[in-house]
Amino acid sequence: MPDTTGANGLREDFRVVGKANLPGLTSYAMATGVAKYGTDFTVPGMLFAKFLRCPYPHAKVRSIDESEALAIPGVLDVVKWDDPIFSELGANPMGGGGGGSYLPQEAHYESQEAGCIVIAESEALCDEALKALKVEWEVLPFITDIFKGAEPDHPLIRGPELIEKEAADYRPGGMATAEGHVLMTKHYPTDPPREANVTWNIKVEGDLDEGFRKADFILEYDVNIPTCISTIPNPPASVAYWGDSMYKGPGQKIYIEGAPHRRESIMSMYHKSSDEVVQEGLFQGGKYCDWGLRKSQEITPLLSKRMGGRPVRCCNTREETFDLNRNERHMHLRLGVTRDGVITAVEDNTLVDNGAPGSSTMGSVSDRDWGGYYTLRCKDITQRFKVVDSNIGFMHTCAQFVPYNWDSITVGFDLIAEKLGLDPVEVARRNLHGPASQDDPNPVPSFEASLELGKKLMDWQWHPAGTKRLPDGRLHGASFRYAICPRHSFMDYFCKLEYRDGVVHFPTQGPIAGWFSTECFAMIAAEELGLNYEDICVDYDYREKHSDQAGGSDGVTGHGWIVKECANKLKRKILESAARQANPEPGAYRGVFGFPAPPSPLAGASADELDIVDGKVIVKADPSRFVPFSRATRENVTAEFGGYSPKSAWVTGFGRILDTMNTSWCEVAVDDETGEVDILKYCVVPDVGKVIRRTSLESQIDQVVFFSQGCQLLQDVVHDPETGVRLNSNFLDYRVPTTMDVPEVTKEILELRSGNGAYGASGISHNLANSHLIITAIHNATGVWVDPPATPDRVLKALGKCEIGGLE
Amino acid sequence: MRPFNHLNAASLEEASAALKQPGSLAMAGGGDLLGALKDDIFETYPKLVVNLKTIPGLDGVEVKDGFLCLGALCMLGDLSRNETVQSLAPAVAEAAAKCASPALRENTTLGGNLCQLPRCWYFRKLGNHFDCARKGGGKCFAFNGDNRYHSVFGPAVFNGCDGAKKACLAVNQAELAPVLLALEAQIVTTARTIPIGEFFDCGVLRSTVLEPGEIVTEVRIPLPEKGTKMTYRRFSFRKSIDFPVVNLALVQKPGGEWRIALGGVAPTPRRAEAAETLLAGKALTPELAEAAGKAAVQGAKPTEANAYKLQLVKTLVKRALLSL
Repeated sequence: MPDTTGANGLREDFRVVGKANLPGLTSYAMATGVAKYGTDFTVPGMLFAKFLRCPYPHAKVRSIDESEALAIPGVLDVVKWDDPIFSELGANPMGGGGGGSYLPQEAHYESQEAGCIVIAESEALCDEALKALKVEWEVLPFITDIFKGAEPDHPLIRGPELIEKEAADYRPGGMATAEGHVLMTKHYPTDPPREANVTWNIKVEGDLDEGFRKADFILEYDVNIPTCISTIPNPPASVAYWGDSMYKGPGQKIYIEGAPHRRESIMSMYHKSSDEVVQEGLFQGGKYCDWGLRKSQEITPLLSKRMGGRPVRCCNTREETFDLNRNERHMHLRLGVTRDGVITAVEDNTLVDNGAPGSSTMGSVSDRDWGGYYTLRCKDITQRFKVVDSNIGFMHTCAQFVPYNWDSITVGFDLIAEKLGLDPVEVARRNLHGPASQDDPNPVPSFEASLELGKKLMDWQWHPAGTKRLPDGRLHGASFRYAICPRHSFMDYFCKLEYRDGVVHFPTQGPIAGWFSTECFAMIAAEELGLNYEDICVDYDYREKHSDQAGGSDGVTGHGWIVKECANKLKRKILESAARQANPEPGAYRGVFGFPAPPSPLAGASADELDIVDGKVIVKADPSRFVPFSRATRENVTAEFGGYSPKSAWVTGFGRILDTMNTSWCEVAVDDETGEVDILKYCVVPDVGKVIRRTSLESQIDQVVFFSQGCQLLQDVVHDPETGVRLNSNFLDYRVPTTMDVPEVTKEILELRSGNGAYGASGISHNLANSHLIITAIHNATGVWVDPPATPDRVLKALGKCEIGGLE
Repeated sequence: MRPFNHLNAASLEEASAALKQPGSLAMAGGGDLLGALKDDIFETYPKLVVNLKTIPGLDGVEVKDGFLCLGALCMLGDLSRNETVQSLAPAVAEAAAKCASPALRENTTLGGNLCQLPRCWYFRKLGNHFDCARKGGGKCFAFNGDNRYHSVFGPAVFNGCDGAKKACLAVNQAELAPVLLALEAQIVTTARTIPIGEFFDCGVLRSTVLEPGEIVTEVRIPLPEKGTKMTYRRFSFRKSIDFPVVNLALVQKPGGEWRIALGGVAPTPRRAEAAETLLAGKALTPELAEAAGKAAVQGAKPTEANAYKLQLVKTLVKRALLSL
């Protein structure tokens, strides 16, 4: 829906918003090395700490003999799991943190911190000490193959305490729909009981049998989505020490760097007030939708305290942060379809990896409540999730690919198209409901615009599978998908702007995780205040409430709405102040040393009669009467605005209302003699409602597409079948594409202004991520399905070109 | 990474003496060794790393006594651009140009490329996790494990330290090895000259026949006869950085004799002799090229996971032949 509830939401005359290549405020610092990341911080005299990490998928520390480690000169301490010091830790409100079980004795995935922490004079000595520990591990039953793990006789991998804790993970007080339906929870009271390592999560809508009765045929297919990993580019690290507080006493203040988050996390864990935690730098390379602090970032104040206040640094390696960015999932779909290609019933039976204990539902079941299925006219939908506990890895916050069910729809459209000889675009058109509801028969303007432009850019000529060869002999395939451009931010936001000494200041905590939200907000503030981007002075101050926490495009568009309102509030106050000063009360003090000031050019005008245009405060009726904005008023003027922006897509239907949409298109060439797949063209046409900062937007599209391409062509997590040990936790063997492997993304951005963020903007991120657009194009090329990643060996196997023999 | 001593060797004599000490390892470009140390893959950490790059005179390219002589410290990037190499042994320049990535090619030496340890993910697992046969342990984990990148021509079999027969499925993925094998190169060391076909060995903890203290100084390629044709092909999952899953070199001599060498498919680089015999003296046709591709995998024993390599070999041989 357009931005009609706030100020200037329908603005047409953009001077700043939407511009490309306005410099990032922190770009210089990041490009020159001025910016300090967690791994860069050093403090004189600091000690180093490292966690013992589990080398098995599931194991328990029976005992640790640290005597040899402590005998190494420079090794100072070994802190074991049962040390009472951990009970001092409070919880981290964003997850993690802790209490007595902060450092577990039992690890539930490979490389999980467990057993102990070593503290030494150097990082190398920490490594020496870890090597010298005599650790007795009890290797426990594990699940890295969820099909085997789902078998009823597979040994249990979680104890009763963990099972009970997860069963209680039904949070009626948490996020809910307008109808009161609880979201993002693992289990519902109506779900069947646990069976060995399997729990259930079931959602039934409409009448599935009735839906199948309306169908002319039933389409049955599998969509297999493998585990996907991503790492934090600069492995999380922090340095902390304790200093004196002028007010609370010696050693009461925590100085910490490298824990880039709202300081509330550290404050909460260490029971400190805002003035007792100092963290100036918040730089951290981003990992998509993962803002969870790692233990290496949380623990340093505790260790510093133990070491008498000496600074302590703790660092992970990249191998230690190979965390899930997507849980494995196997979807078995049954679609009821009419002979016109209209879907009448959706039955989704999904086997999904639950991840290690504590993993976010955003990687497993929470997308049952939104996504592709709700964009269909069909309302008879049943989703059955068979959720398997595993030791594959930990999902910290969220998968970029959520919701996954766009991909089952993408494949479904392709199969319907293939069966009926229809273009999949036409199949999509017949199934997509109208903008207002699932009963709305009207076309969705955003979808239609995106479709037409996409077809033109691709020179779209769909062909049945396996029927087209390129001049060089390779097979040609093409595919298409759609999704909504949602704005799913759900938090309340805050903004403060100050007019001080003739300049507008925007105080904020530093940038987090590579986001450039602050730049977007400065652009919006400049737009609303009639100023240039450079006129907004961003003051980075760790004590401020505002932060870049909003996230990527989703957050920017929602949080940006709050900034827009705040800027208009400030503008009103500046104009009121300017009018007041231009029209002083008779006899009022007017100038320096009491000399009368010359009459203001704004004299006689009220605030309503003034405006701010091009850096000047003008009289609207006579723009030749103005004062420079820097001299608008001698007062300091502050405006604050907070709360929720207009309802996000998440709470207006989860796909049942369609405003901003996108289409993605892909063309591949498949060499059927080598199995090599080349992406010839990858095109994205998102209707983002309104572009805020074009540079950020285009970069985000590049990122999400790059990620999608990598996961479909190359990225594959491999476990040794006997031991469950991961074999490729490095970037040589876990293959992320190089720039030579994928083409530049063709992107044309539409701005139909129908999103529900600032100026009608929407986010783009999650729903451009896909697991099967390229896979579908490969099917169109070859006529066979290759489960991702479509590496040459898998393609050749699917094509029946692998001779098999046994080892002698 | 843990601490170790480091010696910048000034001469081959100094390096050789240092490398005879137990617990010492040689380093040229470091592309292989530094990663291995960082990942802590050895049972014992080296006490001394001997830097060979500081030894003068080992990075030249010259024609001498009927050989194209390549210094062991030649960087692969330099080799790929060297006009003498390009004109006399273009397949060597091709192979050097396709190795790793642009940045790595400027830091990776010819000698290092030939002497690298296997890339097997069991052998390379962080923290020396798998006590595999190649490290003196009891078994090769790839037999029952994930062997998608392992040998399709069976294991290397050798006597372990304990005297028991051991087998290892790791492959040799050295970029330059097949082309040097096809060109019948010789490896010159501080102690001897070794035909390249005898250079690679899969003894415990070794990927070559080099003895302690023995250092590769030069690679000698007999000057190809006029009219010799040659080419190099590789296949990897990514277009840069990756080690080849399969690589091969073809050399056609003017008399109709062929040399075909394969890499990435067996514990050592391997001649495709059946294909060579099939091609000898015959006019090349698409049908013959296809048959040669099939002959190149004769005797293979693939697993379900790595059978795709046979298809790759067949295709690459066929295409390479037809490109000459």
